[in-house]
Amino acid sequence: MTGAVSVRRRSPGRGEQGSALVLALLFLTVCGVTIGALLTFANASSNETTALRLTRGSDFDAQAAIQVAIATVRTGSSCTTSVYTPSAASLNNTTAPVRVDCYQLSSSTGSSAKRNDVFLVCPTSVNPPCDTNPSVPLLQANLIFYDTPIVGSSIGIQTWSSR
Amino acid sequence: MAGKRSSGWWRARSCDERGSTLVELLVASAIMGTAVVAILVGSSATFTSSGANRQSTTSGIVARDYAEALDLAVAQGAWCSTSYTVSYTPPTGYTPTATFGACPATGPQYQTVTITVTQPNGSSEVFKTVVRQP
Repeated sequence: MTGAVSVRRRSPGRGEQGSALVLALLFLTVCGVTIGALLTFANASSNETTALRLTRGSDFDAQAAIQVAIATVRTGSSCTTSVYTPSAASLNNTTAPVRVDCYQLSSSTGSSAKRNDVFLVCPTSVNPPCDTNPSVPLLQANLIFYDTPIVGSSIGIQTWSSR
Repeated sequence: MAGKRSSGWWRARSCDERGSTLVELLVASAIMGTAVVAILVGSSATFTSSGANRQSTTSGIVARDYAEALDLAVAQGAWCSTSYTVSYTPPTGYTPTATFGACPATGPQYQTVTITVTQPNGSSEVFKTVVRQP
């Protein structure tokens, strides 16, 4: 009779202790996973923002570089590869310096003198001349410079495409 | 005899259980408190960081929109000014401003521009760009 009581009392005791341990481990696991997920989310968010800022910086750099290159060629400077390379100080994203290459599609002289040039903004890591394949240049523009009555008196933008 | 043993066993067991339950409660409370505080701090950091990142991203968009509006203002206004009339309404809390570099007297005509966008949280994003003579 006593033995039976003793056995009946001990069994639930062991079972409860086991579930407490399991519950404790479960609780700690859930807490750990939750904190891990939160920190992972915050880290990913920060990384993406940094990447986006750099990409946007490169976009601004490409726009600025092509504007300077256009202004330079407009005044009569030769349309060549590496027509303009911005200095590091003027870049938003110094980790990805860019270069502007220019090549001429056609030109004519006389009373309706004009030049049709293509400008390509490429990372300096890409060897000149920059490939016209749309996946390579950051920015590509096709322009016509109207050279009458004076050189570069007006500009016609044919295409302007960003990668 | 059996009754005594049984009674003694119950008394001892009962004392053990009461004691360990108190300690267990304290330890469990401490662990749970630490875990809850850690989760709250993590959540707070996540929300703060997410908000700051959102504002930073929005600032980039505001800067791009402002640059586009500035291009239009340059095309429509007199070339080489230290202030162009830019027609752009930024989102509430964001303030874009532009400072212009000097105009070249001769040679290629372009102007450097620094666009600064102040965010609602007080920090700002700065972008450098160029406008050229239309």
